[in-house]
Amino acid sequence: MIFFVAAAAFFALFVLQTSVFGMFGGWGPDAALLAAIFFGVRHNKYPGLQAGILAGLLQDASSHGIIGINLLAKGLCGLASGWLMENHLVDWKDAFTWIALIFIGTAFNQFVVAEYFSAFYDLQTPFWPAFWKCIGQSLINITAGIVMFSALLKIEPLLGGRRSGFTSAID
Amino acid sequence: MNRLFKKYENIILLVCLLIFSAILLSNNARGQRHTTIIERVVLAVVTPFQDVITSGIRNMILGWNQYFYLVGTAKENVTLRKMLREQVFKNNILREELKKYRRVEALVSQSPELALKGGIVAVVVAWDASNSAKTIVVDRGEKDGVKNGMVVINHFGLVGRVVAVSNRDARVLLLTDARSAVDAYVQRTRARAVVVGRNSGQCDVKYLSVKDDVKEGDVLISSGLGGIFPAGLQLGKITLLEAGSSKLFSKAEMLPSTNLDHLEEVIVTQYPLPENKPEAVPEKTESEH
Repeated sequence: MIFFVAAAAFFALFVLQTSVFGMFGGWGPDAALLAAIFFGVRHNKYPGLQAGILAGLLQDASSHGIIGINLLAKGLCGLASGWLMENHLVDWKDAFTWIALIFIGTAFNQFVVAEYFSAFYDLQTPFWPAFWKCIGQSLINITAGIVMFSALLKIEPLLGGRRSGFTSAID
Repeated sequence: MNRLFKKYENIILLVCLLIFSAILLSNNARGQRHTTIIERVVLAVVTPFQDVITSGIRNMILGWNQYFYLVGTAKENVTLRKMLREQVFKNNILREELKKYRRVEALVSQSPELALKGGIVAVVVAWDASNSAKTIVVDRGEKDGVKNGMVVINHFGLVGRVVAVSNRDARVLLLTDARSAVDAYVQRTRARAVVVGRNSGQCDVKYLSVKDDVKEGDVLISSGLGGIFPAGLQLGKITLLEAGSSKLFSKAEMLPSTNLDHLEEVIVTQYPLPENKPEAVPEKTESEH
């Protein structure tokens, strides 16, 4: 049940990302990245990979012309998040884990997109503008991620899942 | 076999993902694309939600501005009435100018104004899902007569062109997208250049010869070469001009004449016209009798 609620929540965030946030200059949270990380950490690497691929594909199809780019970036983020949790390399009860994963995921996503445009469209991205863009996007993603993840993990026990350490950490 | 898969599970998953995305990405790189089934489905499924939220927010802003935030309205009303009286007078002069212009226009078979007739007014309902591209979704689709490749403009100039269409909506590739390139003239000197987007608020102006007489603030217009965009549409102003790394071309940047981050309504129009005949002479003016 939590699986469908989380999927619906991320879809709603995606709609907000492309409508409300678009109206105010285009800076919005990356719903696809948050979905990939959430499912990777909470439901293992396969759901993480699948969520990353589906959310990335949805994002690509809403962006015309580059089907596969977000699919690759988000798929890898979902897979890596799940793998890190599976091997106990990060502590999912610690809020810092989520923040670090979102930050690394955002930076990786920006890197993949910049490399693609550099290779296929000869669009060279200068380092410092790209760096500040990455920092800004990470802060937005982290803010949205903390709100989304804490809300989802709080309702998880109500829907049959176990109460998470992250929620306790937030409390 | 199963043990082998278990042992190399992560590597296999990684390789599969890389191959899958490489196939999709190589498919993108094959020149002219058409709207894929995935894009059609996503447009059809996601756009109604985006439409509801966007129009909801717009109505809230409208309600706030029209019913609550009325500070200085009476003073503004007096000023506007004065301006209206002045505009009525100016409007009369312009009507006469317009009639004169139409008579001249009838003599010119390929005028841009003629080519842009039959435009469809569309409202922007969604923006790009990532900040790696610059596209918008408008609320007009195939059922309204919108087709792939149609030109999108507003009263400031060129906005972009339609790149994907579903039954009720269409996706527009903006002038500022890195995949957009428009052949252009500098309006003042007729120097040629190509305006290329760079996924930010500005565009690069490429192939501008160092010998050309160009300065910052010059207006760029579409040249009409290539047959994708009509000639004479305003693109923007040159904001930066400096010597490029090559000795042949200058390095220049352009600020689009339209603020593409805050578009609300646009006109979608066919160019070139399916049947490119000049229309009949417009209404007869009194002076012609």
